[in-house]
Amino acid sequence: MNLFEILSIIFCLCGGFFFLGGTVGLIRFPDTYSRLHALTKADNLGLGFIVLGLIMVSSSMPEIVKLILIWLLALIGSSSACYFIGNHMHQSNKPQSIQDESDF
Amino acid sequence: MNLIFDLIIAVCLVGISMRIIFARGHFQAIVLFITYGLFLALAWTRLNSPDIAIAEAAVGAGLTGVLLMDTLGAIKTSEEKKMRIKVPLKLAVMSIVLVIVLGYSALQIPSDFSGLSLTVHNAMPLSGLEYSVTAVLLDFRSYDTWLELGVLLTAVIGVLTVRRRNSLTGSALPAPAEPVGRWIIKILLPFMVIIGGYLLWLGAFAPGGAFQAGVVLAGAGVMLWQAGHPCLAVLSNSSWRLLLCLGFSTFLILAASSLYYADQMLTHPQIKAWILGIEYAATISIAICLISLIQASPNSKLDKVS
Repeated sequence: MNLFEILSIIFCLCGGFFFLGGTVGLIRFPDTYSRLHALTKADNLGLGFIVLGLIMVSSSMPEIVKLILIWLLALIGSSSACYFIGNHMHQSNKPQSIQDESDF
Repeated sequence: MNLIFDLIIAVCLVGISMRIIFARGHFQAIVLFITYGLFLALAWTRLNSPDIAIAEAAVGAGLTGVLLMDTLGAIKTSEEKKMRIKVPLKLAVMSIVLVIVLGYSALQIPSDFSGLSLTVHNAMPLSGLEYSVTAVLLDFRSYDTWLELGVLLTAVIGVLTVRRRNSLTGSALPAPAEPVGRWIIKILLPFMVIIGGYLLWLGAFAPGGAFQAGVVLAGAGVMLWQAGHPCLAVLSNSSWRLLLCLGFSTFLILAASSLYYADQMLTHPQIKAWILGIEYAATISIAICLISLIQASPNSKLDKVS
């Protein structure tokens, strides 16, 4: 087993850890905003680490470019989806969210 | 290791389908159904069928999810029923019998059985294509593909009839002042068009093809429609209808014209351009049909305004 394979395993495990953290956050966090935070942040990092791990063992340049592209598209998609859900929440129950903010 | 992974997928598939049946609300059931589609795509990947996996992920998890969510928005009642759903006993017994019969027949298949892949492999030179799945879809079994396009077209006509609409254009609102929405369209739309074209081009020699490309393009159209982007309304009503039946009519023309020089329907001269023509027409038709299905869905923005 060479260095790249060991690095790949380490990165993939890191990614798995972040996915696990994101899932736990999604289930355990109390309201939509903090759940969104857990989901998007952890998933972006998790997918990023897994892509990094796969790049370590990939054989050709097009493969690496495609993997990075997948990560970038997922970043764009998840951050925008996060904005849309958050914005919808903010618009639909404004009094509730002001209440939440004053609690901090 | 692979066996463990496969077993996890199988257990998850059964578990999720049980949860769909016993889901308390419609929303939960839809989310679970999308999850089920993604797991099914994973299962197809493990079965070495990337073509079906792409189609399942795009249609089963993506577009069907949008359709179901739209429908839920239209039928949403003020209170969700909290009662437990009972599964009818007859249905349960019939399902169990079906599982036993299917399982038994799956066990009867000899382990070295290669199906029709050898026949297809031998007939490959006849088709002029390099990838067997595309050859089966567009040449050997083109009749099935033709009728599938017909099913899509009929579905669109059916939805239009039920919704009592004769026009699909003009159902998009002008772009709302939503900077993030406009930004994501600007970034994702070129990618989706490129990926759609790439999948179509890939179909000649690798997993991909008309259906997958059409679904990706339809996804781009749905994104534009959801954001209220006006560019879909640029197409006039007659050109929209023309594109709707382009794929089906191309097949029809091929079937009819082949009767002139051959005694069988749907035989084609050994020209790659012929197959490519069908594939391009089918892709455009599939994309337009799927967009129409979603545009004419009950929760269409036009209905809300009027």
